[in-house]
Amino acid sequence: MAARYAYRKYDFIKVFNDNYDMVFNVCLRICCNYHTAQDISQDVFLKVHKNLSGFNEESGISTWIYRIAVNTCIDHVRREKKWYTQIRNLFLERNEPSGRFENEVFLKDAGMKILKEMEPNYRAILTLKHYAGFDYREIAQIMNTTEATIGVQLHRARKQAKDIAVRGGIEL
Amino acid sequence: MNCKDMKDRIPLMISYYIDREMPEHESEEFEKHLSECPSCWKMLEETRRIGGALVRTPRISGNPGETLDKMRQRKKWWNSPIPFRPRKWVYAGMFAALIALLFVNLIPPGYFDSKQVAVNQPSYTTSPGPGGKQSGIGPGLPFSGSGGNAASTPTPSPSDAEIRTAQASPEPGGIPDEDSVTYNIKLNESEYEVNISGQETQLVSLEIKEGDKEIWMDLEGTQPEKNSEK
Ligand SMILES: [Zn+2]
Repeated sequence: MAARYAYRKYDFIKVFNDNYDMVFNVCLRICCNYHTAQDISQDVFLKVHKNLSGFNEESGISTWIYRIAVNTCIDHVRREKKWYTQIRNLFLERNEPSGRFENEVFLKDAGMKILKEMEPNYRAILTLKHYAGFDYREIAQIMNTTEATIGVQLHRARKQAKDIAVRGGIEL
Repeated sequence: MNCKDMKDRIPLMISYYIDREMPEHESEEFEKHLSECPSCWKMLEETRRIGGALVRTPRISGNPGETLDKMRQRKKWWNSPIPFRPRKWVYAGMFAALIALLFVNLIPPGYFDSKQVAVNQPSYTTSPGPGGKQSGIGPGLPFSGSGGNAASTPTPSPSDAEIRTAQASPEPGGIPDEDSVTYNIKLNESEYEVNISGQETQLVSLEIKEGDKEIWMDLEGTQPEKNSEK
């Protein structure tokens, strides 16, 4: 029993170290907030830890983790009670000023200004394409849909992104 | 190829072309057209610029050590993975912790110098929503180490504060979709009442009362000099 835990812990730490950066940055782009991204990353790795022993997908572990990250973020953004999050982040910013700085710098970026105005689903697809650099087949695997759907959604997301940039006067 | 006949399809084709997902023979033909057609070329450039902006979004290193520490602090979880608590519980616990932090922040410096201040585990009593079933949130959700996001809230410095949830409606035990939450907080001798109300997407008000005296805090985290008037 002890050996099993030890093995799993070791395994988990490696998985964590290999994937944290990617998970955190994907969460940042879908949640569009530094503190939220930190919380959600933790949630993601809790789920990873919980299911790691039973993991046996052919797609590979990083695809699996991307899927957990994307789903957790989209789910969060959709259910987020904005007024509550406002208060919450206010406190976190007061208590972690460094995070506030990171967040402000981050949200000044042109790409982030665009993402922030989008549906979480589009944020996810654009992030997987442009930040993570996946092809349609891989994105389809992560988002559990077909390549054709991804093709159409990416095109729509780009169209929306263009509109947002024009409307908001965002220089690209 | 005449792009005027397939105007609706061009943006989709550009999208596929940029991503190199277009079959090779089509891709060659389309490339030829792009080099000859200024309007399609312009659209291609615009689409590329969007992609470029997204590629250039800054990579931030986050704080892996802190995340791992927070996970580790939850010893019980670490040693034997337990199922997640329902999220709304977690939120309620975190929310109460934030309220506590609010108070720690509002107390003037030096106020607690003579006394050690610690925030105890809150006890919750929740009133059932209209027609909703009673689902008390259960005693003593600790501020940290209970699951989900709760641990991410920094535990305030030691205090004797006692926090009671007087009312949480309409969603028992959760952050309500709308309406308001009232927390009664006892800090040493003083009783505070915190009333937070909002709707689905908007915080409507945040009111804090010490007895009859109103202390108020706006969303920028500044404290007005005089008491707010409704
Ligand atoms: Zn053309």
